[in-house]
Amino acid sequence: MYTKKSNRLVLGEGETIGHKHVLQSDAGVQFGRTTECICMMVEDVGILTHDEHDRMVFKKAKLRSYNQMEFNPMDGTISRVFD
Amino acid sequence: MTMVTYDFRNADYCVCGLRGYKLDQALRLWKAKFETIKHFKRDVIKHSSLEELGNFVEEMWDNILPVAVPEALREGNVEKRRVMFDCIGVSTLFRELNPELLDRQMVHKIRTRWDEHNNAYQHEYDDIYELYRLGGNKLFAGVYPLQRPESIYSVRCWCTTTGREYWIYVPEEAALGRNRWQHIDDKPDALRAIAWTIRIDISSPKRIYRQGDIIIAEESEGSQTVSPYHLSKEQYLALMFSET
Repeated sequence: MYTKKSNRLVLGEGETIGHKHVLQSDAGVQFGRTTECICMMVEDVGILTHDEHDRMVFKKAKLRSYNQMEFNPMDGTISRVFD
Repeated sequence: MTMVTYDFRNADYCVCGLRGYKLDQALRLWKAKFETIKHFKRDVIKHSSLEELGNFVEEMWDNILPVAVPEALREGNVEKRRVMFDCIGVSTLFRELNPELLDRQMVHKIRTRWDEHNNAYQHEYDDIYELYRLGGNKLFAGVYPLQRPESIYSVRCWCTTTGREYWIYVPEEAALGRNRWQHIDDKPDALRAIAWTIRIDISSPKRIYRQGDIIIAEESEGSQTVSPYHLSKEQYLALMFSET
């Protein structure tokens, strides 16, 4: 599940302005991508930042990152929201 | 190797799954659908053989008139009208067509946030969610009722950090609490609708965080990977730990 490790992981990039949601951890984040999400294991402290939003701080934890979803009534599909 | 080329000016185009558009028609739909030329190129110009088309559209972009709601309403072909609505997008449609407000809820929230030194504190505020319906009779007036698509639903909310307004389409069962085939009363619920927009694939999550459109689910000891599911209103209210 966790096939890679990085100190800096981009979880998403805004469509409109291009700002990124970035998770950083000095101790590193083990992670792996699936079709549904990014599975992450924060080994010490992880800080999620974005230019327009307040930071979030995670202690040692197993996390999964998803995009918010929306329905398309014109074709009946469900897709990811990108702000 | 033969370079693939084609006459893009006289080609037929497929927009939102519907084929048969001439270039001038496709351009107006694309202009409505994509916020910038960058988004258009990313989603449409996916092959090197389309590069010439991409360059042409880029030169034209600022002068293209996007399709608008009034002309979509005048379009007699249901499938073409549906594509026009799809390209125009949820925010414009719901702002311009006077939708019906089905439910409005204010939620008093106490959420964890962190200061610049990464110290946690409690942030207290009110959040508002509104659920709207646009009737199929309004969107598809003039269309024989049996061919007329059903109503569409959208939840309106505001980012508490940026103040930006968002409209998100939700399916009927999330909006009304029932499937189309069920003969039970509608129970419109804006919170159930916004909860539906969060879909995760672990059982027994410990907490959920939301930073803009990014959702983070924290696993508990007993969490296992399961088929993706949308949060219920109760899960949404109980699990959301931090939002910004």
